[in-house]
Amino acid sequence: MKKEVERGLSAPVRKTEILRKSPTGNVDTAIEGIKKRVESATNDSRPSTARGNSEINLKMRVYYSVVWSMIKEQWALPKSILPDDNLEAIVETNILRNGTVSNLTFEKRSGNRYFDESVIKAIKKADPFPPLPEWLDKRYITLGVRFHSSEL
Amino acid sequence: MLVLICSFALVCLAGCPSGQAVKSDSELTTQDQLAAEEATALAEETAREQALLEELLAEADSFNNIHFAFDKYDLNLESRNVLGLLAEWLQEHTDFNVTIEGHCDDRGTIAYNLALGERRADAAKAYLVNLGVTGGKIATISYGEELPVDPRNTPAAWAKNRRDHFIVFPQKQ
Amino acid sequence: MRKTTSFLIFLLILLWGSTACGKVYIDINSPAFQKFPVAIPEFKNIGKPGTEKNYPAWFADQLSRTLKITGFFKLISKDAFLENQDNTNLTAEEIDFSNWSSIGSDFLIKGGFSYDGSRLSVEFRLFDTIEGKLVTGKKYWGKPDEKKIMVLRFADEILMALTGKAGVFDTKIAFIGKKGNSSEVYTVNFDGSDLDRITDFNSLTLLPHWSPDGSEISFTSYKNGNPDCYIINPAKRKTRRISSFSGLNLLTSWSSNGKQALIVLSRDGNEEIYIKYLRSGKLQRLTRAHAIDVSPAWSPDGQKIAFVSNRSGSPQIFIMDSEGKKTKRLTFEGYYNSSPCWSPDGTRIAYAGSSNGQFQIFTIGENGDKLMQLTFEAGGGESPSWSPDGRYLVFSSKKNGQGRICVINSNGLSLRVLPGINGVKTYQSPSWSRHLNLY
Repeated sequence: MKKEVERGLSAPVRKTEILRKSPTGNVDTAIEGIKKRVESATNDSRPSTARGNSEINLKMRVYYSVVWSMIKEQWALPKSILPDDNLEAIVETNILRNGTVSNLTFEKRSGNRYFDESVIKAIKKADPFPPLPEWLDKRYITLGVRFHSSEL
Repeated sequence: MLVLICSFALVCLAGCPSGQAVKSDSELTTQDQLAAEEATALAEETAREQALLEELLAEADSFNNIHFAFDKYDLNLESRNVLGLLAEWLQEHTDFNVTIEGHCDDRGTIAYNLALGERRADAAKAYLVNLGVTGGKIATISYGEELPVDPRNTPAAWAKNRRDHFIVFPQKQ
Repeated sequence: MRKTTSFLIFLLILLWGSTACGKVYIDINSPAFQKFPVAIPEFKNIGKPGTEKNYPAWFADQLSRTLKITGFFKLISKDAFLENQDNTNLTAEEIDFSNWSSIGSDFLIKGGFSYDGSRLSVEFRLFDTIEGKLVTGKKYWGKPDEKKIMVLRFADEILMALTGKAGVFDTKIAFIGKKGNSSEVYTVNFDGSDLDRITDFNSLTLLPHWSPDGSEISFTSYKNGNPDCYIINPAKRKTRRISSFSGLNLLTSWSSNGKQALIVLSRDGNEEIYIKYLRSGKLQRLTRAHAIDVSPAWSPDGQKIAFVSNRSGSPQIFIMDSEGKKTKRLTFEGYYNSSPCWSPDGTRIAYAGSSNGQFQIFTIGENGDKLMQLTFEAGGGESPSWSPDGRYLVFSSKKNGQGRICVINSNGLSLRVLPGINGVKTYQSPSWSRHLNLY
């Protein structure tokens, strides 16, 4: 596991660019796959409006996972400098319509300065994210990003 | 004349002091002859002893290494046979001692293998003592994994390295 | 491929989660990148032209090498640099940080030097390219032959600023170099410089261990025909024999105050662990089992002793108190576990454990929890020893049948061979000193 992490470290910037080029492409394929699973699991007697709602939520969640991926890619921190394995920090950020980050603040600090600095840096490096979906009727979204120091 | 010769012979036998008066040719020849014969006899005796010693040393060298299973110091049947022969030989040649070296293969850690090698040497010693060899003639030393006979990294090499080695040597005079 | 899978798994988790109308949370459980990316361009001559010698490249290379051996930095290749190399800007206001952040370099180190023929002055600056600001800067003056010390001092500053602790550049590693039937004690600096042979006995030498104050090294030697225990003072080249009972005399651990040591003796019939009081020579026996009891290691607070015993059938690690009582078993995984070594903070024990017919390096919590395998090498791993800051372990590993001295971060990453040690010998049994104030 650790070895795979080590080997996957080259050129994170390039990988991010590929994601930026066609996030919607990935999203659509993903939606198709999830849709199929959802439909097979859902009760047939559900009203049609409920199905419509779950599709909207689905699309937002796909956007969130792209954000997750881009932040994780940029998070650089040698874990062996941390005192113990259970650090958690929560950063709150707004993402504007054009995908840029604003109002980056700590909802919870980990207590370890180097950990906290590294998570802010990760979000700043990932900025800007893809533009918010067109159908979303909001000027910005607010996201809480929880960073943990160990694999759960 | 006879008395003279005899007294000269006596003096010579006792050890001729230097600065002796010149003797007659025939007397000198006899003394030389005697000395030469003595020397020859001594050389022959030394050579015989040397040959005997070398034979004994060759015999002493002929005791094979005994071998052990991984992480074990039990004596198997073959080991007990070798030790039996060694015990017999030592009891027969009481002016020889033995040093038993205990060795391990290089798997396992250095400190533990020093202890294991010691157990292997001690096991052989205990067996010899049991067969009647005096404990004081047997020394043991462990070299752990430090001195393999076969440095390769194969099970066959490892088996050769897990051994006791016997150094049988004459006690100092 | 893996990304799409984790992508989808993430979606599935969210799908069956709560539908929050307010703020949505996402969880990131581990950094993707376990090193700080840093770029170090050549240093600039800010003194008289023509006096630069080879310093521009030398400083950049030496600092790169020094940061690299810490295992915490990924050096961005010079080929990726966008900034014009003639650029002499050393202050944050004048640097275009996007030149550096866009090539993936979170940090940038710039330096300038000036040499007037007798005195060298060097400025070092560490920048955060994402925040666009100076993190720390230092200036040093000295003779040209002190330039390496300047690099090490600033490397300590970098580590302090980014990780909270200075480096371990002022430590040494003692180890055994063996050729044929003869082995000797050597020491080398953590960065691979200053390789030095300490002993010259032309016989078997084993198990070197630094004293806690770094002034002496204990070891076992066959130079008198028996494995006896000695202590050498490398600076004074003075050796004294401290234990020569018949059988084994193996010192494997010093007390934190340097006044006692744990020693294995077999003089009482089988291998047992004793405390030896180094000044009086007094011995206190701790173990009494019929089993093999070896490799004792004192905890940093002196309250507990880890050791190896085969009393339960095969070699395993046990812990007892400093009186030899309350023994309990620590390791239960694997059929052969040995060479225990306590971390400097006393919470973990590193050891060599059997895995697939070989030994690898493991660490385990002192209560037996959080077992972690650190090495997975074909050449295995043995004889681990912790750095004084607990961030690294040094150990020996084999390649083509020859032992090599290797270093790994305490979380299992950045395995590398210790530089500066090569030759036809095989190397084993490393021991890491405390900070020695070498510069």
